[in-house]
Amino acid sequence: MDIKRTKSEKVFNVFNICFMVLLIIVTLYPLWYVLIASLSNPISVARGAVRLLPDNIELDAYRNVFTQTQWFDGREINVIWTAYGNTIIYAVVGTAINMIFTILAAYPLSKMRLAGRKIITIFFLFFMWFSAGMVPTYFNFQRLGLLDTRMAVLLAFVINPFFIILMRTFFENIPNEMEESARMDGASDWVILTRIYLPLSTAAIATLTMFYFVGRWNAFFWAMLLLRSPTLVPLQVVLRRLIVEAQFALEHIDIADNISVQTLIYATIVVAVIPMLAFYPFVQKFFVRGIMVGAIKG
Amino acid sequence: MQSFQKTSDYKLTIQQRYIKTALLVLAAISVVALTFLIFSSWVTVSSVVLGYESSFNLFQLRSMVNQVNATRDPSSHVNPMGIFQSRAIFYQIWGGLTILLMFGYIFLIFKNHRRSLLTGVLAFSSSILLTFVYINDVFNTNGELALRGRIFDEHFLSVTPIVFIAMIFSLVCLSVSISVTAKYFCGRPIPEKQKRIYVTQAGKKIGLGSRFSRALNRDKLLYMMLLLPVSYYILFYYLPFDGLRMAFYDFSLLRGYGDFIGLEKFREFFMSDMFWRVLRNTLLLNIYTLLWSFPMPIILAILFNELRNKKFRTLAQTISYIPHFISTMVIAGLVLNLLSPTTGLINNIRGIFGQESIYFIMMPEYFRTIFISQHIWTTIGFGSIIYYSSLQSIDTELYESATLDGAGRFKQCIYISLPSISRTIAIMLIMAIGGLLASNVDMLVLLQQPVTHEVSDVIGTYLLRLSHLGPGETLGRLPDFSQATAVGLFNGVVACFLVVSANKVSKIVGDVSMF
Repeated sequence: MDIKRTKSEKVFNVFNICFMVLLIIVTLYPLWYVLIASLSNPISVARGAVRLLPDNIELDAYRNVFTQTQWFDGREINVIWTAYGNTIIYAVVGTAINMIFTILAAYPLSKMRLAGRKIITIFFLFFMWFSAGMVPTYFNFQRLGLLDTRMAVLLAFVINPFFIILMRTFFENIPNEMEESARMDGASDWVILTRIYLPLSTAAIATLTMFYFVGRWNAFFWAMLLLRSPTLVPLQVVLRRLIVEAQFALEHIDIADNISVQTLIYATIVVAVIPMLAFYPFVQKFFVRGIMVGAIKG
Repeated sequence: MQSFQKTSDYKLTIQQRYIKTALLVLAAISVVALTFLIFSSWVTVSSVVLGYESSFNLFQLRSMVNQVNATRDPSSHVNPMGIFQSRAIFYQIWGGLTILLMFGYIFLIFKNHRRSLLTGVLAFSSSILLTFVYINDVFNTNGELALRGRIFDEHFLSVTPIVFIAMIFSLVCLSVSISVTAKYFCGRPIPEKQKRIYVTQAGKKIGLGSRFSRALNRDKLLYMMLLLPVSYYILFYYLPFDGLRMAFYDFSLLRGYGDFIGLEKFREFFMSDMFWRVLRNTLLLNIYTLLWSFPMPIILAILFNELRNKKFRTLAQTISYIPHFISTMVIAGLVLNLLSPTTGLINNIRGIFGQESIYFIMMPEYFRTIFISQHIWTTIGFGSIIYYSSLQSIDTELYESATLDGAGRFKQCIYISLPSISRTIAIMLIMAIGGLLASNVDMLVLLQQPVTHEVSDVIGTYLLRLSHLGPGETLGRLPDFSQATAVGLFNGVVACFLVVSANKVSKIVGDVSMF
């Protein structure tokens, strides 16, 4: 069909494209600025000479980031690498735990025949609406002897009830005949789950894994409350000291002496963000699909 | 008057239309009243509109009481608030009656009784009258301006809770009646529940116990699978509930549970100046965030939809999702860096134009703007996905016929795109309202400084400082776990109420439920 382009339409298009370009700039420029500032000479950054491209490139800031050490328990530990290692452990192992728990909860609940299905679902959902609160939860961790241990972070808030429901809905949409025919052949529930249901729902599993993984990688609140030892804390908690507190401290000291602190902060941000952004183009479509599954189901 | 019945057809009689209009007007009035209540904290509308010299401000009432009592001359025997002494019984009876009427109204409306409307009108008018009389008394004791130099005696303080409970009750009743009416007018017909009867092959009925043992036997493995998550939930979500006792006992780390003090810690919290501050900040920060950052993804999704160049659109979309993947911590770091007075980008740019640099993060007047801006930056792209996907499902024929009718692109947006996704918008809005009390504690705790507490301190961050669990500075006294638990419990109960009722409403309006 030949659509006549009126004048107002052209104006609209131009406005729209301008807006999009603006959006892209607003989204990317802060990140780009941090990158080029971290690569530049600290004095250029302080002078405000860094705008679009790095000025007097030097990598001192990165060298400083990776060589920061801290004494703990009679040992010298490398701050960033220890934290990175911890984050990888928490993210990988934690995501695995998340998925196991979510699937184990979602599969039985997807079976209409299960007696007490509704009560158990409500039991899960109840804690989504109402939890005991921060202080009692903290004391519960203390009572279980989990304070300042890796297990605390791995086990804290592993299941998102909303994802249980998503997974359950996905399982429910797999035709029941599959299960019945497998049962004819003498398969148990466990075999049916692992051999039929899981292979059929790889898309949903991939999506949820991504969601959990990003959540795990970026989580800091409870890790901050539950962990004290520098050998255990994940990257995000260390960043708090290296980025946020350093920034506040920076404003109260003589800038001439600490001019390189600013680029150090920028370099730390880059180091913290790089893995997620490198990972991002590959998983982006999973996220979009996951959100849409959620949108259709409600 | 016709009684309420569940009807399956959508045709309304004239009477029903009147009720609908009346209820909508009532709802609008209540919304306006609530907004007035909240916004009066800084606009002091009352002083402008009502002509009083000093404004009546619920959020500062308690601190006013403290101020006035502190300056009170102990030798003075005159008690201008004496009116509350003589009227205390009158208030208590009236308040009690109103609450009773409200109860009756709720009871009747659920029974679909034909007297429910009459009772509702009586109950609402009674509570509105009570509120007016109360406010009149507060302002106008002995015909003078009320709040200047008044002494708030114990009678006033004993009357106030009753009036407030009646007010809150009438708001609850209003929401119930709105939801019932919404269900009545917009809801789908509810199918009759069929009772399941379990019989053996011989036709004998099976009891509950044996039915359960049969099910257990049949689905052994399924129950064993559930064992792991259920025990996890019991261990990490159910066991902490035992800790709620702390709110009702005098708890300290050294002695453990001390004396039973009942609701003392709650009273202490409600009566402190802190209560109004954190409640106001929680509500205001969330309402502002909702107002500014809720429409953004919708606008963005529509603009995405209007982009004709597919490659450019995909690029823009992909880039706009990026902030969602950056952690709270890094975003906080970015914000602090870019706003830094010495080296920050924003102040650099201001420097070019010869402006002085501003230490933004230390200025209370900028805090909300900063917080909301970063929230928009983080959520705009990812939030647009859901709207964009529902825009994609619109029939293109609609646009084509609109073009034939001479509608421009802008008109198409207004008359086709927006109405088509209105249901998604309504559901997302209701969900957002449900989360009104669950503010971003993790972001706030990173961005706030003692200087900005006046606008940045919300319930969650106050709780962290109270219990010394957080990383930042504390209240400068020993951790008060009892009060922190009480604060958390209050927050949890209200938040839970909001979420559940939001879910109920979205179930009625959109036939969609989150759970």
